[in-house]
Amino acid sequence: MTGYLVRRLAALIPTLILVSMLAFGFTELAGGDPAREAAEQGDGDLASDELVAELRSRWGLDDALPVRYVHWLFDAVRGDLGESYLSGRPVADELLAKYPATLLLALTALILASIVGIPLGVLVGLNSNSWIDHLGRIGAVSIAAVPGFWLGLLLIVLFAEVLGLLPAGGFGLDGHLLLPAAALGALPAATVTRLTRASVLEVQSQDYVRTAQAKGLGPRLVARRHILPNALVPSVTFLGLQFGHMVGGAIVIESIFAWPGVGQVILTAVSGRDIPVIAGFVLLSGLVYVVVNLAVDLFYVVLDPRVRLG
Amino acid sequence: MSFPFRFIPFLLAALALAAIACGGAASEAPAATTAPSVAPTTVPVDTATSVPAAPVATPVPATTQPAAVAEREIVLAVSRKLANGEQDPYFTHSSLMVWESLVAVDGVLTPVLQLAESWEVSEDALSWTFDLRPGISFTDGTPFNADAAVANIQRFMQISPRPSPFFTFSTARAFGDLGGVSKVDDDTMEFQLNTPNPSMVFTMSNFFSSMFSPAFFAENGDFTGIPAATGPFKLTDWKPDQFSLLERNEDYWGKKPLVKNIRVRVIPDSGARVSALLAGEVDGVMELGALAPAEAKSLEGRDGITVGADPVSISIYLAFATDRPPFDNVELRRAVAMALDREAIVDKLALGYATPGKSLFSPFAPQWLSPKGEPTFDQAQAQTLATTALGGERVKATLIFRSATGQARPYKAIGELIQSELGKLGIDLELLSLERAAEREAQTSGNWNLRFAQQGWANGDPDFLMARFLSSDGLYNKGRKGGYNNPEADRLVAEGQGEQDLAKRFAIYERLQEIAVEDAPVTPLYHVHLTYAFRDTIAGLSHRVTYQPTLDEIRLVK
Repeated sequence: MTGYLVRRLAALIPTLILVSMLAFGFTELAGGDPAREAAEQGDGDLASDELVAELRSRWGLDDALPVRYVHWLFDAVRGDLGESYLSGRPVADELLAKYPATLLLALTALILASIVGIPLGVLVGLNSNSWIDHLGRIGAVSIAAVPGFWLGLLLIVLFAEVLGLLPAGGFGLDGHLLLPAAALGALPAATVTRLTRASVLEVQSQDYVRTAQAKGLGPRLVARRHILPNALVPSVTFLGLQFGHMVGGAIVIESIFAWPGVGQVILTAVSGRDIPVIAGFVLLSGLVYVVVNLAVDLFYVVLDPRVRLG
Repeated sequence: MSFPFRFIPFLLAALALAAIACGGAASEAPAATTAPSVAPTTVPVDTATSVPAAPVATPVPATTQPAAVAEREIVLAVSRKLANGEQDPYFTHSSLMVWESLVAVDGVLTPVLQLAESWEVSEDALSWTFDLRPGISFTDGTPFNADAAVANIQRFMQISPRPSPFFTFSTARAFGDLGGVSKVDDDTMEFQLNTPNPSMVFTMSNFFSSMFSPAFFAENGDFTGIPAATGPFKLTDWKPDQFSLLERNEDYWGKKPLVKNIRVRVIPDSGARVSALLAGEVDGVMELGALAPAEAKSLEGRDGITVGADPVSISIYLAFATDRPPFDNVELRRAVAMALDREAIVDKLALGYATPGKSLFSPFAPQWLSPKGEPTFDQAQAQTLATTALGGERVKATLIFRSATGQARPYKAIGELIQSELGKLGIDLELLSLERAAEREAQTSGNWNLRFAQQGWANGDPDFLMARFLSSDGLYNKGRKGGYNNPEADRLVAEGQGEQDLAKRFAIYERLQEIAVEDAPVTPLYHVHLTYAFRDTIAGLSHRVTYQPTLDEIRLVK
């Protein structure tokens, strides 16, 4: 197990180097001059060519891309992700200050998706072709068809504007978290419902289930001990992979709900070609993504004792 | 333990992680030092009409405590962050009224004294002397005097150039060719320029002469925390992209605000801002981008909601690439400028929340406005001009504009209207919507024939606009590849920069406005009204022409 962990973590290094290279390269390919974007970020602000040239020189933007990347990489290895061209703040401070809120939102959405999607999937799976199954499938498809941002706006109108039950936006561990997490977790919840249903149907037809039934075990016990553990593997895999997407998807939801995560910083950084922030974000996201997937792999061992890592 | 319950420890662990993560986010707030506030509002001191008049300060308004002091925190939503932190040249936007400047501008965009009491310029315009208002202290108790003012300007020189989401600071754009700054006596300071800059009181106004307590200056020119200043409000707490908490400066030297605490919340999404207003979570939505015209229209007539639309010094223009086909033909440019139905743009697309283009100057600074600068709407004449210019041929052209402006700037809809009008003239117009950086790159590389240009004019300097639009080395023509080159315009712009006599200066700018109509290198489409709304819980919210909300005049109603 230890060897496996070390190998997985060692594989992280080339992964992060590759994704940061891609972040640098794609930002360059997207065009635009980071120095001009920074100098003219004010509403309608225009900067002279001289001013832009001075900033380019200060930030080494006239160097070739590989040179800039290597400089950035050496600094990053020492823990210095540079300073934002737009805000002037250290990138590490900016990301670490906001990333926890994004992770919190994504994690809560993931938990919501799990506690709604898995039981619902099991319920409809165990009652296939009944009215419960039809209702559950229609509901899942309907929710999956609604884009997250639109669902977010609908939730705001309903729960904040009309019913006045929950706040329309802002940060907090109370009701503030509920609507954005629901908007973000709705699509994964619907997908998990369908995945779990399909798995339950498949597992139900396995020999060991029939054997358990033949032994005279009750339907509840069969479901709990023999169907669910085996049916959950695909859903857990999906949720693990989904976590990275949810961190990305949170950016839009954060904007709608004024959730103070990393979303606004990244939107501004991308449109302003703020390369240090983009590269830092990619690095951090890559790290989170790999670690979460490692955690999911470890979780398989818990779910299925037959699985051996390494 | 039966299976489903096996998940509970993992869920609990995840929740615990979430709580930890959340704690991290919550505790990240910058040090909430007691700080100061600003607001280069129109302090009713002297109005310096022509450039360097030497006004004498009016007595400081008495520090009167408002009769009814509201204690409840007022919550106002904005679309963008108004505090940017220690690395920003100004820490906060002027809209928060935390800092004040040596020179501000008034309601018709003329410079007024704020923390300065009078100014004097030498005959060669190389030396500017400012008498400072005595008896003022920053909110940390540090006296505002020549030492403090000199330290502020030296800090600006040290950090120049420094980008900011508000206005990028550069010594050159603020003061010109500044050689140095020195203290004359406790209440007097002097700027020494290497080359004359008669417009300095315009260019240095607001942001570029903002004053902070030097006790908050780090060695590298950053702030060491929320800086103390002299404005009507103090910034007591803030979180990036979340909120700014303002508290009335009880020792403010001017008229004190009517409310004690204001929380300014950042809600980037316009739909969510409106929902927060309707749900009663915020008392108002304000500042640039508060409401798109369609949203303002939808809120009109709602019970308990007041919608406002105040003229501000931002205008939308159509700029021509004048040095390449097809708009290197002046007749064709004039034809386009004449064919534009500015009334229709305002009525149908800006939903009435704008003023049709009157001149290159904003009509809200009437002292510079001339009827000779007003574009004519004459489609028959436009057709004649276009037929002459094109000889019956059809030409192609590209109009570029920024895609992510949403409903606030309906460029696409305006582009389609223009496309329709130009089609009648024989111009097949392609509309090209580009994201921000790509649009900027297209501008600076000259890959355009027509483009929309949003131009603010917060410093009220007529030279600022005319040099940009009409000078051959101005930002529109050189940097943005407009390519307009008219020796007469160059000469007049240079004369205007050096002219001290108000009447002569007006004559120069009147002729320049006329040239802008004759040659149409850029033509005004409309002058923006800032749309906003507030609930019946508050009153007194409006916006000054420099688009600052009147935080100091807001009062609590219920």
